[in-house]
Amino acid sequence: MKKLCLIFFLFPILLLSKEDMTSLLSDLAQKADLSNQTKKESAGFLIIYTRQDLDRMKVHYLKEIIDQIPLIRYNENALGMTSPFYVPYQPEAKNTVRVYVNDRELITSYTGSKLKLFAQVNIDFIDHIEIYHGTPSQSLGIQSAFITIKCYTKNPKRENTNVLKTEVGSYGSKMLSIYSAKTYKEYSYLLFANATNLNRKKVHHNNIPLSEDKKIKYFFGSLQKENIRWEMQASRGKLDTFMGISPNIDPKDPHIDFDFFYTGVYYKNRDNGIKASLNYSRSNMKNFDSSYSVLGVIPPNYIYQDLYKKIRESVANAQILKAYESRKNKFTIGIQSRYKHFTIPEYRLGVKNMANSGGYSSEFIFSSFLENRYSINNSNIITASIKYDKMLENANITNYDTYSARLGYIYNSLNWTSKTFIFTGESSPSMQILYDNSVLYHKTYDLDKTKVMVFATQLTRKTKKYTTSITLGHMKITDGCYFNFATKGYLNSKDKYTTNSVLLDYKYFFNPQNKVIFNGWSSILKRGNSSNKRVNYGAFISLYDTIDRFDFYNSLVFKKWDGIDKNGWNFNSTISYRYSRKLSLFVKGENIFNKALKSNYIRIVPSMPPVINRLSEVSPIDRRVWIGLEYQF
Amino acid sequence: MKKIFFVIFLSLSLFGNNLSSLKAKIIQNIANIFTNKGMIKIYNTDHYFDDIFKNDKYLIKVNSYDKADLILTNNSDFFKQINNKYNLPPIISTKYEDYKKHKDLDIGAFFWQKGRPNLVLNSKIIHKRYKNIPKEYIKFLE
Repeated sequence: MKKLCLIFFLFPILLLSKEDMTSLLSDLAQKADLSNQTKKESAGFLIIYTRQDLDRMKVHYLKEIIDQIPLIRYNENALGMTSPFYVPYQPEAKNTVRVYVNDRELITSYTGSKLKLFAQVNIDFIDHIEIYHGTPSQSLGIQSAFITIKCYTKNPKRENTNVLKTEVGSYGSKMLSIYSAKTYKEYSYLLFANATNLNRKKVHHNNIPLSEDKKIKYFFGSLQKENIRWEMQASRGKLDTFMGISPNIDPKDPHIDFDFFYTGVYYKNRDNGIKASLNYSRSNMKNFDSSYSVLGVIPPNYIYQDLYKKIRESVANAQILKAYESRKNKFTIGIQSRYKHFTIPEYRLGVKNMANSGGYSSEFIFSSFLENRYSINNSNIITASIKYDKMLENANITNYDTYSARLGYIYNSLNWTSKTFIFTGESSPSMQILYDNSVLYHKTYDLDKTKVMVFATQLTRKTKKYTTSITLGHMKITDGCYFNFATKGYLNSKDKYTTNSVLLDYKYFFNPQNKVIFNGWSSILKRGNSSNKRVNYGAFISLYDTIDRFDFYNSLVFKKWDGIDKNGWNFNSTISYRYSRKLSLFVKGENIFNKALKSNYIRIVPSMPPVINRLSEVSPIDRRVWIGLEYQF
Repeated sequence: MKKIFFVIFLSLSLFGNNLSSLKAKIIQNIANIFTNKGMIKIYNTDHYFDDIFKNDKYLIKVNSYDKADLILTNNSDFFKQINNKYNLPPIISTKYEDYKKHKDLDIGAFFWQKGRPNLVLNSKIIHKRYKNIPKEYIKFLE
């Protein structure tokens, strides 16, 4: 396998082309990449996937990118949804990964981050992706996160085309996408539609197939005139939910039917420094779950075998930011409000009706934010920001106030850059935790806010040919929320969690079209005063090449993860051929050697004593081949 | 401190130059398909290319199209109207839609499409007016 990998990686380098008009055009594509206009260097440590990178990868969904982010792993929860920090039966950590499309955060009120689904949705309408890691930055959104993924949609001024893309893949998967992006006088528009029938490899447990197939129809549209942009998105689909909540892992066709709608208006004016937005989204979800044996028990002894839950969620956002710029300072002030609402109109466990929300259904968040960037001189910059959030819950649920602050120092010279940040902040429990604790488990105590402190520093050396950097991080979390099986409810952990990490990066450009990227990293997680440490480490190498009409992309992700026996080796490769300016063909292999990092699942039967069922060695990334065709008209 | 300022200024201007120099280099190469002149006079109507004259000593901006060696335009309609009155130099359209409409006039097009810069050369006009073009440009003929 190693030899084969080496051949895949080295073959394109042997064929490097000389500089000609094709090279000049590729060079221009790289240097004029739109990420140069959107990236915010002071917001953290940055990983960028340019338009050309995504194009050569023939990236389908965000999960491929998440797998390559250092210090975390790609993982899926028991429902087959994306959840990088998944721990069985534990709540989703609230501020770990947040995803934005343009200026909109993908979020729902009850079920939390929309990353769960969006990571497995076709992203052919995305131009480039910026990943901010290291320290949370308040300037990126209302609730700062350790990893912020910003996806920017294709710019009609750079597209001027209609594209039809069709693909077939392993297990009978199919994708059909079409987009049109053009400009007419001062108007520009982007229309994108996709239909995906993604069939996953079936995992079997006691001869029962566990399906994670997904059927999704997706639409995105935007219309821009000068400083104002309007966006709309709609999607609908059916998701097979793997093992569901079946404690014996013997589910009977568990699935979710959903539909989603979003619209928003955005205003951005560089001349007066004002950025404002207003958006609204709503979703309906119907969750069907059933089990051959038992699905759950309501104390004292009501056993049910099926579940039906209907959730309606909506989120409305309003934001305004104003920047004042002088020779040495850039001062930004912003306010944002968010209204989140959910109802559970139907909730049946067997024949028992549980649709009693207890009145708790909405959260209003008000945030205010101040940031100043002070340039001591052209090489030395200091950034400081503070943020205050007020969370107002309805139905006598406790309200929370949270504060966060961040201080940063950036040094920049011709060949050297250094960035150092210190962040301290708090976060309140999610709506789902508040609902479950008060309504499902009838708890009367209030949970404490989770406190986070992060220190991170990065030193980078840049030359024309290469960029190399070292990043060190230290993070401390106190009062984290967890689910306690003994008391049946969420509690604050008494232990402090400390993580130390180191990351080495190296990027080498053979020429503008051909580059190699490497990183290696390690993280050590320590809980309280315990001597047990969780040590994870990994490495990543990718090679992008363009030779005449061929594009090559190869990558290898290595991960050694605590609690997973086998090391993960995820090798991906894409070869694209431009037959003409209008037609191109490609072959893409994902997890080619089927050695990507596996996941382990546990299910607990609520009997006395509890019985633990295990499902181990499940690959959240399928071994898969895609063959596709792209036609411009 | 002065040194640092100088280094920063140099690095910023180098970055700024990179993009405009690159565009200038591409326009220069395109012009060299049709002319052997060392100094190339360009008549430009597209703001996207305004910066190519800033740092390039071989490209000269002219304000009159009849004095130009090459026309860069996002408005071929205008030149269509005056085509019969003047002996116009080669026209490179910067809008593909325009180029498709004026294939009897535009010798080529240099434009952004599908997130990439593209070059298309009009084989009909080129074969009529030029006996040979450099080999490396044959693949751009359409």
